[in-house]
Amino acid sequence: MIRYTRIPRLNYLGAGSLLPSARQLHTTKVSSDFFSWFKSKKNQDQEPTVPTKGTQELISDIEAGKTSKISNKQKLELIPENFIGEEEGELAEKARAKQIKGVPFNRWLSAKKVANEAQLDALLIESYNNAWNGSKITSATDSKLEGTFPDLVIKFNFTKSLQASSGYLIPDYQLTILNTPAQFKNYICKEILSGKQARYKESEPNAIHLSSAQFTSPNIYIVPDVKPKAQKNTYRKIIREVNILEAESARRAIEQARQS
Amino acid sequence: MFNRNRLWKIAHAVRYQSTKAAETVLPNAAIPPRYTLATVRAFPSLEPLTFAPVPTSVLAAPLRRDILWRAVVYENDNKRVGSSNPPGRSENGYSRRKLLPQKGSGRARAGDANSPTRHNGARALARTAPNDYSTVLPSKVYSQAVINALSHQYRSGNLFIIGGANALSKTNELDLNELELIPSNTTGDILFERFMKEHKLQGKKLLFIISEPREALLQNTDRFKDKVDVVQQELVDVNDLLKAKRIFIELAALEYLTVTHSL
Repeated sequence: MIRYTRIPRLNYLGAGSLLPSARQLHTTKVSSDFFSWFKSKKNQDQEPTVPTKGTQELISDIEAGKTSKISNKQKLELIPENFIGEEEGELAEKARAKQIKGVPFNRWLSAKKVANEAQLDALLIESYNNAWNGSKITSATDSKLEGTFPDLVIKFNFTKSLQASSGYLIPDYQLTILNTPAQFKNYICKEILSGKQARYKESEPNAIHLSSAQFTSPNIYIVPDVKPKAQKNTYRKIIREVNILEAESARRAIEQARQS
Repeated sequence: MFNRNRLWKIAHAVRYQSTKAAETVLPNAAIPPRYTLATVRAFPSLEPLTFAPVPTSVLAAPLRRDILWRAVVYENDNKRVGSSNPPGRSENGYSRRKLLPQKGSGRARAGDANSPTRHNGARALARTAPNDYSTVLPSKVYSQAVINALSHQYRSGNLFIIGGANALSKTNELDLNELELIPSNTTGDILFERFMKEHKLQGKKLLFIISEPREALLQNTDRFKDKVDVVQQELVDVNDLLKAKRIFIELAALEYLTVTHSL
């Protein structure tokens, strides 16, 4: 029985066992339209690289001391069109992204999201003082935070200020059922600061997140979640190491080829 | 024949059971809330402008999957075109000749080759297009489904109401109080894309329910028409409401749906 195996192209070069026989890891972006670049170059007006002048004319020019200006067409100018990998679509996307960033937009939610309870306490105090004109508080443990909102206007001002400064939208249903500033604090601690909202995926709304804190039994071990940031860092680290190894093996292969 | 006194005693006992006894069984019974709060926002920043109290029967009704199911099946039935034309035994094309004699062949009785029981035979219940697959649903049930779908989206935090009359805070000059983009040829779709980016809506199915034709919104969402639906308030259906990941509805359109679908 004949079995076909995919042989890596590098092995054909006869570089020996030093070159890795497994598939290489590619970290650069795949350029789908590579040959179109050559095609575009081919279609350009092919001006003669050598000046087409009569011999006599050329000799007389040289005798007269004229220097001919020959533009080297073999050499590429460093303009964006001459770079492989910078495709038109990509360039357009970049330009569009720049436009999107520059369009005037009313950003009422703070870009800096609330990250811990201490920050939240400060925002809670600020929102309370903004909403209640008459009464001021200085501490997050103030019993006034346990009191219900006297009217809807104060509730509106408080919740808007809290949302704007914390950077998170609070759903209308929660706005209705939460009646005191302290309840809002509990809600944000439970839903946002605990990381519950960040973990939530709309495609998997009923996903279960287990943590070892939920189980006291010694025979239960929960594999801790790996955060996307940590995943990305590890991936980068591996790629960096692979690149170094590849460069090293290529260098050795070239040295060996020179010696033999 | 009932004695008058006895009758009075029974009536009294019934009254007692229905009031006093209930109080002892459910000592913490309370009247459920009648209104829920909806934040009225500006567009496209979604900045809160005011609160609108909406009856709980409209935006906080308990989920009724059975009703939603019936409405979705009803809508999908009515959407079917029904273009199939399966041949009947008179149209199937084989001869009307009896395949076997009635008796004596030793095999089972058989009619002609068009019989629906035979391989390559005709369809037993042939139809000619257009076939009508439409079903009926009591209008009250359908209305309840529309309201229930809205309630479900509200409780999931996916309903955003756009408006702004009698607002508690001012509308920013970059915003509007309706589902419309500030008319400008150059920045309309860029602005819409910024709106999607700001609220992390890229790739999500969005539904915009408008009370009046909004030219700029329609034009500038054209680039995202696979994911973004702009629907006039009269043409909203339950499928739309349930499939959307976020619903943006004008306050006037919400009032319209509430009035037309309230029981």
